[in-house]
This record gives sequence, structure tokens and C-alpha cells, in this order.
Amino acid sequence: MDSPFKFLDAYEQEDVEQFFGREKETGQLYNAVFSSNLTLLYGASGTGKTSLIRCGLADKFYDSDWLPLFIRRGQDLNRSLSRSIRQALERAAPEHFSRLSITEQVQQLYWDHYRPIYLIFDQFEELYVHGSAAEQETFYQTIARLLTSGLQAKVLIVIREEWIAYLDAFERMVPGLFENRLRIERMNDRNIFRVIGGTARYHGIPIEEPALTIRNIIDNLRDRNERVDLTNLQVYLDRLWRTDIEQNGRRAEKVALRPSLVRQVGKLDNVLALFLVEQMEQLEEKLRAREVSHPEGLPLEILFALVSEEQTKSTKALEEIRRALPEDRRLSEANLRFCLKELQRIKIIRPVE
Amino acid sequence: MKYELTHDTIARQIYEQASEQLKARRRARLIVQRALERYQERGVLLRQEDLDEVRPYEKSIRFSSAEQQLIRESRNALAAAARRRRNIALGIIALLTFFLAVALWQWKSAAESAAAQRRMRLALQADRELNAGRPSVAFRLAQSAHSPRNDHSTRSLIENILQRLEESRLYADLSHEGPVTQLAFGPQDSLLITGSADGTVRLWDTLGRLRHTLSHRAPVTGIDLGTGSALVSTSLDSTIGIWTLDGQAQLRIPQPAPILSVDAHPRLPLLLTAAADRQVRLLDFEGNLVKSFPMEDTILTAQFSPDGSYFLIASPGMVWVQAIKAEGKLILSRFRVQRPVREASFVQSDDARLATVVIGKSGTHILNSEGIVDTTGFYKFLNEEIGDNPKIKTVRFSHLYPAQRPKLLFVSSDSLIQWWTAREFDEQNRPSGNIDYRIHPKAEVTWAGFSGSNRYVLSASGTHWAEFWDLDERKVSHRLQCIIHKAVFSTKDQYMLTSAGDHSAKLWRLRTAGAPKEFQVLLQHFDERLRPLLPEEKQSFQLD
Repeated sequence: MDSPFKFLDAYEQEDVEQFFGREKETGQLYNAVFSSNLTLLYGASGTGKTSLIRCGLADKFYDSDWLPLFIRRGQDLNRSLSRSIRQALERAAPEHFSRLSITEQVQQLYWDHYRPIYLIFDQFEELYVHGSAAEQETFYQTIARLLTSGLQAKVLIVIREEWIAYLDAFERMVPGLFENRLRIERMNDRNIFRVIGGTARYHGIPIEEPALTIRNIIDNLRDRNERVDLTNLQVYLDRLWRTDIEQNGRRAEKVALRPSLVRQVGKLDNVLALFLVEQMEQLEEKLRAREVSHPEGLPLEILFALVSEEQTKSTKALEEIRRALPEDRRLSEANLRFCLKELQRIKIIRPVE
Repeated sequence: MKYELTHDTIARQIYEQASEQLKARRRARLIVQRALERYQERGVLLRQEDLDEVRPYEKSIRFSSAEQQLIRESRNALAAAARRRRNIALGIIALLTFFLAVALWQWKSAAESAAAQRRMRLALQADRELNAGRPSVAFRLAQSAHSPRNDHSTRSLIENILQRLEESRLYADLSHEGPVTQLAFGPQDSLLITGSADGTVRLWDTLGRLRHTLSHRAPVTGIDLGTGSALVSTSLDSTIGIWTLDGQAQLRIPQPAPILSVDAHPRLPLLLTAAADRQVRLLDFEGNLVKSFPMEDTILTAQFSPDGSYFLIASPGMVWVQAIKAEGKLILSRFRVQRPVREASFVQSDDARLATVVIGKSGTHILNSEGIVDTTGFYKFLNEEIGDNPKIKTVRFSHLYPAQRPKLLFVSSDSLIQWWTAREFDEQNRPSGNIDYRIHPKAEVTWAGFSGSNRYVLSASGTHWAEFWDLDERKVSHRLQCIIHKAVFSTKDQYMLTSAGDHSAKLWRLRTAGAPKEFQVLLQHFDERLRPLLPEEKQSFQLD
């Protein structure tokens, strides 16, 4: 039975009905992008920056006012930018398109849509994790030229706050980088309360003694610094849901959040780690059933291929993942695809274009 | 289609759960990936520490062919660099070894050259010492100068010195720390006894090896052998020492004054000493004083007669002769001599007719026991021969040789040595005598006397040569290059012990025939020239 929760995936525009607790920040961001062509959005990991844009901000616009291009670095940020623009074209790209400068390409795109273009550079830290100095330099120049071109194009940089110091060189090229910035704070208890209540309601899961139940959930999620991580919240809710089904024998539509269930699951120091371990063991079992010999640790090795040395996520193609596995633990392509599909199902990985 | 984790939070979790081996393998892969970029940009190869980190995972990582090529190239380059370094190190070591060898060779050559010069100087010094009449010093210097590496001239010089030394008949060198003043042979000539101003009496065997050292606290002034093989020594420390011949002290007799000389009675346990307090004392071997004889003047001599029947005390103004009976009783016999006495002694050969030789300032006379010039028998002729000769310095009598024919040797102050033989009868059938030989050395006579057997006369002079005159053959039988101030002989003339005022006594072999076996062995050693004379005493001489 697949979990109904968003889990670690970001909220998209269509999820707006279940996106709670960030109404204020959504308004602030909306104002920020209007007040300047360049906005810097930053915050700690797990505060929901991506969801804020993809779901909160997107929902503020009418489609006619908003042509968002979500750009990730991929192999090279400059090429990814160009490709995103090309893909957004309504008509087929002219032959000479690739020879145009980015500014000219954006101009082409604008002429194509007549809508303000929002270039949203999510996970911008990837430029520093994987990018070369030349790639960074080119990008800064591109953005600097674009911002002074007078086009209907807005740039939104989204970055984890621990990487903000790396923007120094960017700021030297684009001095207004920090003038229009917005920091996403961790969610307070009141909003988390609303998130839990709203999420349960959205999925039709009743909450018995809501005040006590939600309070207990929040308390069980607090870390040593009394903070609650939103990613852990999703995992914890999933765990409550699964516990009620798997251990208490409830049917999915009969699951209800209640103090006794919260007590049953109890306080978990690192619910995500526990989740991972369990999921990996299950996947190993499945591999064994597919007659893979010694599958112990294989799923973790696959996942490890998707982690950068800086402990951030790293995008990889199937063949790259295969190559990252040790020679003596070669998986057939079918089995690897199976693993990736399973990992996708449990929302640990996702495919990217 | 590409894949990524849904969130960085998961990335952190996975990284934490991943094993160290996984991380190390990841690092190894990254090292090679980045190195490949560097290599393609700048041609930089992997470093040794990178290779070390990559090696454990080399088989488990799927490196691209470019990466594998880079690893191979890096490894080859590092191996080549290591070989170069090793070759350079080996080259440096070889170069250093070469320089060291050259330095050592030069140093050795310099040392060799210095040593060769030093040996040449030693050989020259040996030559000078031999010419100056110090053969033992010369021998030791030549010994020190000897080396198989000597050049021809040094070798020739040493050979020449050794040849002359061989001819010199020097046998052993008996060392003291002060001038040697006393010399004696022990019973049956088996022992050599030396006394020195260094306060010691030393006993040596006939191979010249030191056997015992007997100590006084002041210079030794006399040594003699008493009855029962007791060794008597006197010293300026005012003691008389009585020792066994194996070096044990039997008795130490304290005396009122420093002792100047001693004579032991040939048969009775009696000692006659002359002391610095002008007293001549007759003592027994227990140290008991038998009688003392005060003298008015310096004591010239105090001695027993050869057969022990008398003793004689002489001072410049008086000669005192006393008879000793068998049981030790004394019979007075004392006379004054008008003229100053320089020397007095018994006629060695004549027990029946006691005579005293008085060498006065005005002449030399042989006196009888009454103190009157002897005019009986051939003494009459002798007195006629030497009478009123003011030039006589030393007189020596031989023992009977041949029987009943005494000989007299006298040395004139002008370095004339003469000897005179008594004859029973002359042509007119009267008792007579005649001068047998006269020799006139070119320098002052340092010592002259009869050999132990009385067959030879030894004459030594400032020419640094000593000559042995065969009285039968009436010619020089052999010559020695040496200085002699004093000499004693073994009874059969096999050995001579001499002193020359230096810190050693010297033993000479006079006859090789009939020499004991160990002497022959040693002579062979000597003939081998470069062997130490006496191995135990080997020592090096240093030039000043």
C-alpha cells in the first residue's frame, strides 16, 4: 500500500489544497518578485523553499502572467538554461537558435509567449558543488547581461543558506544580488500544527482528540534543539499511517490519528534514518526474490551513487549509477531499473529530465 | 532519464549510513576523475599518495580507459622517478666512495711518507748512537726503524748497523731508572746483579730478563755475595739489606750513617762496611757489630783479602791490615804510611806473601804486611820497575795465571797501559819479571783489567772502543765498540757485564763456543737481526 503523503517530494501547484503553513512567506515572495527583476531566496535545508515557489508562488499567478522556467544545473548550468528556453518555445526553434545569446534566446521566448518569463534557478548550490569556475563565470555574465537588457524576464535564485557565502563572486558581477532577498525561516509550532491538521484533513484521515494528538506528534518530532524538521514530519505521518495498517490491522480508509497510535510509534530520534534502513532491508528482500545473490547493501550503494561528496543530492543517469557500483556487485540493467523503480515508489528518488 | 534523491536531507542520511569502504572507494574514484581533468588540462599525473589511496579499490572501480591509462602512466612515471632517484643516490654514494678512497689513499701515502721519514731519522740516530759507543741504544733504534716498507737507503743503513752490532757482541741491556753503579755475577754465573742510584738492586737471568727488584730508599752503594748465597746490599739510606737470591728480604740492618761500600767475607758470615761517619764496621750476618774502626780521614777502601785471612782499611794517611783467625779472632797489624795513599789493595795471587800496593803521590810501591817496601823475590824487581813512578793511576793484580806466575797491570795517568809478568828466574837464575806489553790508547783509559779467567786484559778508552788482549797470543783477540766505566766477568769469560754511567748495564757475550742452548737460540735471533733482542723487553725509542 503506497503512502498518501507527499513525503519528501516538493509540493507542486496542483498540491495547493494540501499546502499549509506558508501563507505569509508566499505573500512576501510574491511581493519580492514584483519589486525587482532579481530575487534571492534562501533558507535551511528542509524548510520548503522549492514547495514555496512551485506551489505557493505559482498559485498566486494567473497563467497569462507567468511563464516559469525551473532550471537545475544538470551537467552545465548555462547549457541547461539554454535548453530550458528552447524547450519552452511554443514553435520549433529557428535554426540559428543555438548561436543566439541567452538574452536573445529569452527575447525569442518572450516574443513566442508574450508573458513575463521567470527564470527560477532552484538548488543553485549545485553550481558550486559540481560547477567549474568557468561555468560560474559564464553564468554570472549571462545574468548580468539579461538583467540590464530591459526584457520582461525575472531571475529567482534559490539556494541553501550554508552556501550563501559562495555568492560573493556573483555579487561582484551583479551588485544588486542581495538587495532583494528573502529568508525562509523554520516553521513555528502553530504553523506545524496547521500543517498536520490540514494534511490529515486533506487525506481524509480523522484526528481523535486533535489538540492532544497533534501536540504529541510535534513533541515526538522535536530534535535536541527543540526544532521540528518538515521532512521528518512527512515521514512520521507516513509511519503513523503504516503502523495503524500493518500492526493494528486497520484498513487504509479506517486509519485515524489518535493519542494511542502516537504513543505506539513513540519518539523517534531519527525517523528518516529508521525509515531508510527499513526500506533498504525490504528492497534487499525483493532483490533476493529476484535471485540476486548477496544483495546486502546494494540498495544503499545505489543511493550512495546519488549523493555528492558534499552530502547533497547528485543527479545521475542509469548508466552512471551502474558504473558507480563496484565491479564485483554488478547488477543487471533490469534489476537496477527495478531498484530505481522501487526507490521511486517509496519517494526516496525521483526521475528528472 | 536521470535520477536524483528527493531531498538533500536523504543525501545526508545515506552518506552517514554508508560504510567507510564505500566512502573511500568514492574518494578513490573522485581522485582519478579530477586527476584526469588536470591531466587533460595541464598534463599533471597522479601523485604517489593518490595512487596509494586508489590502489585498494582499483579492481572494484570501473575506471574508463582514459582513467586506466592515466593510472598506468602515473605509475610508470613514478617508478621511473624512483629509479632516477635511486640511480642518483647510487651515483652520489659511488662518487663519495671514490673521493673517500682517494682521500684515504692520500692520507695513507702521507702517513707512509711521514713514517718512512721517521724511520730514516731513527736509523740515522741509531748510527750516531753506535758511533758514540752506545750499541744497545743503537740496536733499539735500529729495531724501531725497521720496516718491510723501508726504502733501499734506510734498509742498507739498518743492515749496516746490525752488522756492526753483531760484531759488537752486545747481548742484553739491563735497564734502571738511574745510573748503574754496581755490577756482579751470582753463583755459577747464573745470575746478574746490578745496583743503581735509582735505589734498586735488580736480579736478572742470563737472558737479560728481570727476575727481582730489591728496593732501598736511596742510591745503592754496594752489593756483594756472602756465604750461603746471601746477597748483601748497602745504600745511602743507612741500611744494609740481606736478601735471598730469589728476591726475599732476610734482614734489614739499620746503620748510624749512610754506607759507602761493603765487602762480604769469602768464607765466614762477616761484613766489612765503610760508612760516611768515617767508621769501618765489622758485622756478622745477624747485624751484630763485631768491631768498629774509627778513621781520621776519608776511607779509601775496606776489603777482605782474597782468601779471607786479612782485611785492609785504607785512608790517605793510614793503611790498616788485620789478620782474622779461623774462628774470627782478630790480630792487630796496623801501620802508618808516610806518603799520602791513593789506593791500596791485596795482591790477588799471593796468599803466602801478603803485600799491599800503595800508590802515593810520589810513586807506587808494593808494601809487605809490616808496611815496608817489599824487596823479596820478584817483588823486588817489580818495585824496581814501578818504583818512584808518579804516573801510575791504577794497579790491578791477576789471579794466578798460569800457576805461580802473578801478573800485574798498571795504568799510567798518561793513558799508558802496561802489564808485567813475574818470572821465577832470569838468565842468571834469579827471581825476576818483565814488562810483557805496552799499549797506548788515543784517549784516556776509562777502564782496564783482567778477565775472569785472567787470560785476557780488557782495555777501554775514550775512543769508544774496548779491546781484548789475549795474553797467551799477545794480540788483540777482539774489539768492541762501547763505553766502559766498570766491568765484571763471569768466571770462564763467557760474559762480561759493564756499566758506563748511564741508566743501563750491558751484558756481552765473549765466547760463543760452549754457550748454553738458550744463548745459541738467542744468538740465532740476533743473527736474524731484525728480531727483538729480548721479546719481553721490546720497546720503541722516540727521537727527541
